[in-house]
Amino acid sequence: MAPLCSMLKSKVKEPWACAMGYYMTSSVYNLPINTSLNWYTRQRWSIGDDEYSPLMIDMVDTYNQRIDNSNDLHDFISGYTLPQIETIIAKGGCKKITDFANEIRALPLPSGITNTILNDYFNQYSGTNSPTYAATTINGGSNFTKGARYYSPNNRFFLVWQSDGNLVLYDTQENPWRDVWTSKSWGRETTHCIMQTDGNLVIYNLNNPNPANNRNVWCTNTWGNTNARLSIEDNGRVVIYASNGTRELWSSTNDNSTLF
Amino acid sequence: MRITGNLPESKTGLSKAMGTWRPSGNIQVSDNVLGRNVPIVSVNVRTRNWFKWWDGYTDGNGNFQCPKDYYGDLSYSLRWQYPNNRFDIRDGKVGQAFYNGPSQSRSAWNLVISSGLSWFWASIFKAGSFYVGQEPFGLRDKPFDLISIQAMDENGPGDKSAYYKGTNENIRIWRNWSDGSRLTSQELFVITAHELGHAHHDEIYDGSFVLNVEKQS
Repeated sequence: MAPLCSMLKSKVKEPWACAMGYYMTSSVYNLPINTSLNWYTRQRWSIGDDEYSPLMIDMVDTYNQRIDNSNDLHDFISGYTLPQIETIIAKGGCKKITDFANEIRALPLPSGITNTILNDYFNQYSGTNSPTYAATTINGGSNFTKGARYYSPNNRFFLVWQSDGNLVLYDTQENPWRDVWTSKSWGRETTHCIMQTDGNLVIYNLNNPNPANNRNVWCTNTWGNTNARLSIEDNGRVVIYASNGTRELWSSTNDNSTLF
Repeated sequence: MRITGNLPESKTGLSKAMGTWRPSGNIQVSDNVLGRNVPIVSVNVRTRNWFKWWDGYTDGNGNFQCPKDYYGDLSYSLRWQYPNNRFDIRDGKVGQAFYNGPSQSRSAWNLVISSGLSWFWASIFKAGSFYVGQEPFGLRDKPFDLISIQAMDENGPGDKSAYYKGTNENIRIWRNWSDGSRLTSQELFVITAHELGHAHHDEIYDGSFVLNVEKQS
C-alpha cells in the first residue's frame, strides 16, 4: 500500500503499460470493459494500491468503475486518444501523475468533459473523494420549450433545445461559452423534445409527413425506466438516473444516444 | 562441385526432367482462449537447400510465398524475428528461438503450432507483431526497436511473471505461473503487450528511462 499522499508523485510508466496491455488485448479478445482479470485491466484499483493504476485507461474508456465497486475510482473521463497520451508520455518532463495531469489539462476538453470533472478525477489520486453535486431535476413527462434554458443549481451550466434542432449543454464560465455536450442534431427539423415518462429523452420531428419514416431525430435509448429523471449537475454533467436516484442510465460523459 | 554432384540441377541438365516448384505456405498458432487458429503475422520464414537460401516474412494472413523457383528438396524453418529486428524471441536468455520445419520438402508448408515451447514463442510473437504492425489506435510506426524477448521455459518467480529492463532493453516472460500452471494465450498476449508498452515508452521518452522491473504477478 503506497501512502495516499504519494500517488500523484507515482510514475506514469505503469499506467501507460497497463493501458497498452488493456487496449491491445481488447482489440484481439473483445473482453467486456469491466473485466477485472489481473494484468488485463486495472479497473479494480483503489487509491493506495500499487502504481498499476487505470489512469490512462480511464482517459479513453467510457466506463465508470465506481458503478460496480464503491472502492474504485469515479471515472467520468473519456474522449482522449491513445496517440494524444503517447505524445504526452514522450515528453521528458512527464514523469509523474501530476505532470501527466497538467499535460492533459493543457489539451482541448473532449465532448462532455468539464474542468470540474477533470479535476475531480485527478484529485482522487491525492486521496480526495469525488464530491457529489447538486442538480436541477427534470421529471418524466416534461416537454422542453425551444430556446428555454434549464440551469444547473450553480447557474454555471445550462441545457437548451435550440432553434437549429440541437440539444446543447453550455458552460457559461468559459469565454465564449463552451458547448460541453451536444446531441449533434443541428440542422434537423425538430418539433418536440421530451423527457418521457418511460425514461427516454427524445427529440422528434412530428412534421414528417411520411409515417413510414422514423419521426425520431435523436434519443438516449433509455426507455423502459418509469420514474427516471433528467439531472443537470453542478459539475457540468447531464445524467438520466433510474427511479432509485443513483443508477445512471445515460449521461453526457457516457453518451450512448442515437442520432437517427 | 562436379565431384560431389551438388551443382545446381539447372546446370546439370536435369532441371527439365525434374521441374521446378515455388515454396509457399501458411503459419498459424492455436489460441486456447479464442478457440481457433490465428495467423502469425510477419514472422521470418526461411527456405534453403544446398544452393538457394531465402528469407522472407509472413503476410497479414500468415501466408508466405518464396519468389524463387527451387529444384528438388528444401528445408523450411522459422526464425522468431520481426522485420528489421523490431523484436525477436530468445530461447531462454541467449539463443535465438527457431522452429525447424520439414527438411526434405517438395510441397507447401502449412503449419499450425498448437503445443510445446514453440506455442509459447508463437503466442508471444503474435502479441508483438500486433503491437508493431496491426494495432488500430494510430500509435507510432516504430514503437520500439531491437527488443529481445527472453522466453523462459520455467515457472515464474513468485512476485512476477514478466519484466522489462530499461538498462539492456530486454523483456523476460515466463512460460508458467509460479505454481506451475501454464499461461493462456490471452495472458501471454496481455503480458507481452504490457512489457512492450514499457519498451515503447522507453523508445519515445525524451529523457532518462531508468531500470524498470515489474512486480505484478
